[in-house]
Amino acid sequence: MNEVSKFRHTYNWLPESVVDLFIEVGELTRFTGRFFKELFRPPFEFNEFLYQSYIVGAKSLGLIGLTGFILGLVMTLQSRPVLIEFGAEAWLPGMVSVSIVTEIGPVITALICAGKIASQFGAVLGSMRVTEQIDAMEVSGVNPINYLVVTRVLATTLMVPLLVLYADAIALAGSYMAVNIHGNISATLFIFDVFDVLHFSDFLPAVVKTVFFGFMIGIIGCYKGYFAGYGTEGVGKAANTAVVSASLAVFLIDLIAVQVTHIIY
Amino acid sequence: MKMNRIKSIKLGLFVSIGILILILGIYTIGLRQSIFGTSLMVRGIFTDVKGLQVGSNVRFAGIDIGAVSNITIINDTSILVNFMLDKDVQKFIRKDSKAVITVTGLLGNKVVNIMPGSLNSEIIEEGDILPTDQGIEISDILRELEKSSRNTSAITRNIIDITEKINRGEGMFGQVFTDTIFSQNLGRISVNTAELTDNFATITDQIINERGLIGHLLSDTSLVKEFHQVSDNLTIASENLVNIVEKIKQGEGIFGKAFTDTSFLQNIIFSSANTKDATKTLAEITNQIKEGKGFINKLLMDSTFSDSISTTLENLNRGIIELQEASDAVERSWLIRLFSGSKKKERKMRKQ
Repeated sequence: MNEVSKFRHTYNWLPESVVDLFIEVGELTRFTGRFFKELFRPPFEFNEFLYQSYIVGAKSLGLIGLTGFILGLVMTLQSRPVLIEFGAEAWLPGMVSVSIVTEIGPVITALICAGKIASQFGAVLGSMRVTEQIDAMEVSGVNPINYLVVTRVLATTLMVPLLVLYADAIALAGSYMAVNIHGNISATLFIFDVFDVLHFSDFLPAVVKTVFFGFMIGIIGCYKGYFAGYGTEGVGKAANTAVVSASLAVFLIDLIAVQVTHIIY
Repeated sequence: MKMNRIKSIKLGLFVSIGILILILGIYTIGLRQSIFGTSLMVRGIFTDVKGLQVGSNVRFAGIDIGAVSNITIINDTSILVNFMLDKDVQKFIRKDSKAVITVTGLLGNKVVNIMPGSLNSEIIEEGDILPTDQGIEISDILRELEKSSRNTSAITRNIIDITEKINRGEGMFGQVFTDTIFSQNLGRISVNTAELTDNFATITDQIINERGLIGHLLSDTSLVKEFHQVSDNLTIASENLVNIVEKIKQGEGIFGKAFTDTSFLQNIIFSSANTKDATKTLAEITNQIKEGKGFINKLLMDSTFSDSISTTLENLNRGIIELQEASDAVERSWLIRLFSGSKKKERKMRKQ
C-alpha cells in the first residue's frame, strides 16, 4: 500500500474529489520545487528557451493583438452610452484605459494564453509521455525537466507580461478608434486622457501579476503534460485539464493580486 | 526544435517592441507624477485633506505642475502633504502662494491648486512650507444650501401667517385691505402728507433762494460776522462783569463799599432814618397846607388871594412897560445922544 492509498484509507470520510485536489496541489508543488531546482542547474537549454519564447510570444501575438483590439473597441463602444447619460463622455478614454491596463488586459491575455499555450504544453508533453519520449530522455541522460519544463515555464513567465503589454497597447488603439467613430478626438488628447488617470499603483501591479500568470500557465501546462495518463485519452485529458486549471489559477492569482495591491498602496 | 534565423528575428522584434511599450508606459506615467526629471519638493499643512491621495495632481494657474508625493498625519488637526513640483515653475511660485485642495469638476478627483502669490514676496525654495487654505467643498455648499432652505421655509411660513392675518383683517395691513374708513383716512393722510411735502418743498426753495430768516441765516455771510461781533461784545461784557465783581470783592466803588464797608452801611441806615424823619415832617407840612394853614395853603387854595396876586403882577408889568418907554424917550433925546456918540454907530451900521 503506497502513501496515497494510506491517506485515502485514513481519511475515507473525505470526498474522492477533495482528496484528488489535495493530491494535485501537492504534486504541483513538488513539481514546482523540481522546476526551481533544475532552473539553477546547468546546462541551460538556451536555444530551446528561445524557441519556446518564440512559440509563446511571437506566434501568439496575432491572436492576442486581435483579441486586444476588439476588446478595446467593444469596451469603449459599450461604455459610451452610459457615460453620455452622465454627461461624462470626456472620461471615456480614462475609464477604458484603467479597465484595460489594470484588469481586462492582463486577465483576458492570460486566459487566451491558458487556452493556447497551456493546452499546447499539456498536449505536447502528454504525447511525449505517452510515446515514452520522456522516459527515453531520462534513460539517455538528458534531464527532461531541464529541457522540457524549465525552458517552457521560463518562456511563459517572461513572454506573457510582454503579450499583456501588447494587448494593452492594441486595446487602447482600438479604444481610440471607437472614440473616433462617434466623436472626434486627437491622438495627443486621447493619450493625455489615458495616462492622466493611470498611476504606478495601477500599472506596476498589473505588470507584476502577469509574471505570475505566465508562470502558472507554464507550470500547470507542463505538469499536466508531464504526468499525463497513458493512452490517447491521457493526452486529451492532460490538454483539457491544463487549460481549466491554468484558467482557474489565473483568476486565483488575480484575486490575491488585488488584495496585495490594496495592502501595498 | 531548432531556432532558425527568421524565427530569431521575429522573437527579437517581439521582445524589443514589448519592452519598448513597457518603458514608454512607465516613463509616461512617471512623467505625470513628476517622478523623473528635476523636481522641487515643497510642503503644506492642512487640517483636512478631503480625500487627497498620493499621486494627485498639483496645479498652478490650471496647469499640472506636479503631484502629491506623500501625506503624513502630524497630529489630530495637522496633516503634512508633500508636493513634487516641476523645477521649471519654481520661479513663478512665491512664498506666500496658497495651496488649496479643490475638486476637478462635480465628480472629479481632488487636486491641489497653488494660487499665485504677491510679486514682492520671495520665490519658494526646496522644502518650504506653503500657506494653505481649506477651500470650499461640495458638502460645505450643500450645508449652506440646507441652512438657506430652512430659512426660506421659515420665511414662507411667516409670510403665510401674515397673509392669513391680513385676510382676517387683523393688524394695520389687515385694516388697510378690509376697513374702508381706515383706508379713507389713510387716503386723507396721504393727501395731507403730499401738501406737507409741498409746503416743505416751498420752504426749502425759499431757504435755497435766500429768502426769510433761515435763508438769510444759512446764506448771508455778513450775519455770521455780526454774530461774531455779538459774541465778541458778549465776551467783553462778561470780562467787564468779572472786573466789576472783582472790584466789588475788593470793596471798590459804591457797591463794593455797600458789600464790604460796614461804616458805609451804618451811614446808609442813619441817612435812611433821617429821610424817614424828613418825610414825616414833609407829611405834616402837607397836612397843614391841606388844612388851610400858612402862606402856601393860601397860594394854592385861596382863589381871591391868587387873583389879587395876579392883579398885582399885571400892575407891576404895566409899570415896568411904562418905565421902559420912559427910558427909551430919554435915550432918544438929542442931549443924551450928543454925549454918548451913538449917532456915529448908527451910520456905521447902515453902511454895513
